Amino acid sequence: MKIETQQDLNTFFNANYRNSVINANRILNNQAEAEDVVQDCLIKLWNNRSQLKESTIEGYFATMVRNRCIDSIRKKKPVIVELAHVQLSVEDHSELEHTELQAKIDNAIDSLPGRCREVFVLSRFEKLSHKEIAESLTISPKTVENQITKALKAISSALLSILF
Amino acid sequence: MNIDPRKMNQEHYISLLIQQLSGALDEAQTAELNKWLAQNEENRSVRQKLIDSWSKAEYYKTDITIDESSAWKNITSNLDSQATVEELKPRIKSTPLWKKPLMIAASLAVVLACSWLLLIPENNQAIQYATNENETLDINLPDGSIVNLNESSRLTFLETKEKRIATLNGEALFEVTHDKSHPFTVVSRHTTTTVLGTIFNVNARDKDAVAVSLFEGKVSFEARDQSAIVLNPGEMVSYEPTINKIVKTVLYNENAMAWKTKELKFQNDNLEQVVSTLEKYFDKSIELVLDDESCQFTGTFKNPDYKEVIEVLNYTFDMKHETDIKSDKISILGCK
Repeated sequence: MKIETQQDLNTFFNANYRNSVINANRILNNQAEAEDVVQDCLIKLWNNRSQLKESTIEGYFATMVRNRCIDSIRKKKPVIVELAHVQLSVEDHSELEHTELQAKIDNAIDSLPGRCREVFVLSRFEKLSHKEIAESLTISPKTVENQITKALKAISSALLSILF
Repeated sequence: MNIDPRKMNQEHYISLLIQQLSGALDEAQTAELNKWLAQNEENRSVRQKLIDSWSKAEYYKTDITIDESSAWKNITSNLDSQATVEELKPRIKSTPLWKKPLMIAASLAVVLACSWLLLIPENNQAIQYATNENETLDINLPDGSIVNLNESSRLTFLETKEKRIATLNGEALFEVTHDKSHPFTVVSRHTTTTVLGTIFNVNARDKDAVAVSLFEGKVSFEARDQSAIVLNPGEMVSYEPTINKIVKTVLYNENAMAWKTKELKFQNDNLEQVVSTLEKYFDKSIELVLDDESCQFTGTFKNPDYKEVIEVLNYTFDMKHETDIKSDKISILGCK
C-alpha cells in the first residue's frame, strides 16, 4: 500500500499501531514510552511518505521502531547486580483473558534483570542475531547467549512450577 | 576441584541449542548436536524444555490496553501537512446480532439487509468493531456487505469516493457486494486483499501468517513485494512473513469423487475449473480458449454424457465447439 493521504496513514495506523506498540513495549517495558516511540515514528513515516517504496513500508516501519527502542535502552545503565525484583503489577482491563500460565511466564520474563530481559526480547521477538544484539548493546556474543539461556531457564522454572 | 565432565558437556550443548533456537547453526554444529540428541532421552528432554520455554514466550506482553483514538489524535495534531480530508475519528459501533453466524455453504445466496441504509456514516468516518474471546459479531456494513467477525478480532471500515477499505486484526468472514467502481480492500499486517464481489474468509491474527480462503467470486491477494495472486473459489492462499512466501492450496473440490457419485456439480466455477473437471471425468483432452475470463458456470449433471454437457454449456455461453480425432476445443466468446 501507498501512503499519500491522511486516510492512508489512518489505514496503516489501524492495521499496525497495536502490534508496533506491543513490540516496542516488549523492549522498553514501559507502555507510555512505547506509544511515544511508535507515534513519533508514524509522524516520521508521514513526513517521508513520498520517498517510501510501496512494498516495504511495514518492514521499514518495524525497523524504525526497533532502532528507536534500541537507542533508548542503550543509554540506560544496565543492571549489573542481580536484585530480588519487586513483582510488577499486572495490567488490568485486558481485552484477552490472561491464563494463569501466561501470567507466570510474563512474570518470569519481567523479573529478569533489565539487560537480560532486553537481550531475550531482541532475540526472541525482534529476531536479531546474536552478533547484531552484541553490536547494538556493546557486549560479547557469548554474553548474549548466556543471557538468553538464563531467560529460558527462568521461563522453564515458571512452566514447571505450575505443574505441582 | 573436580568438575563433573557431564555437566560441562551439557553446558556446551545447551549453548548449541540456544544458538539453534535464536541464531544460526552451521552444518558441523548441527551434526554434532544431533549426535548428542540421539544419545539418550535425557538430552532430548533438555532440548524439549528449552523449546517449550522458547515457544511459550510467544504471548509475552501482548495483553495490553491501548487507547487508539487518543493515540491517533496525538498523531494528527503533530502532522504538518495540510489535511485535505476531514479528520478521521474512529468510533465504536456495534450492530444487532443475527440469529447465528453465517456458515460457509457453496449454495449460499447473498442477503442484503435493509437496515444498512441507516448505517451510512456521514463525513467519511472510519467505523470500528471489536469482539472479545467467545464472542462473534455479525456486521452490516454501510455498503451492503456483511462481515462475520470472529472472536478476539478488530475491524475498521471506511468508505470514500473511490474505495472501501477494511482493516482486520483477527479473523472474519466477508460477503462483499459487487461494486467495480469502489473496490473493496481488506488490509492486515503485510497483506492487502482486493475483492471483486465475493465471499471469503481472512485469518489475520496477531501471529504472523495471514490466510485468505475464497468460497465464491474472485479475490486478488498481495503481500509485501510479491506479485498479486488471483484466487478462485475453493482456493486458499496463505502468507508466511518469516519466509516471505505465498502458498496457494485447494480447499475442496466438489467433484473429486465424481467418478463414484456420477455427479458433476458446479457452483460459480470459472470455466478453467469446469473444463479441468470435465477432462478428468470424461478422460478427454479439451482445449479451452477464453475470451472472457469472468464467466462462471452453475449447474449439476447426473450421470451425464459428454454431448449433454456441451449442449448445456453452449446454451449458457456464447461459445464454439470444435472436435477432431485428437481433441476437443471449446472457445468461449462471451458470458451471455
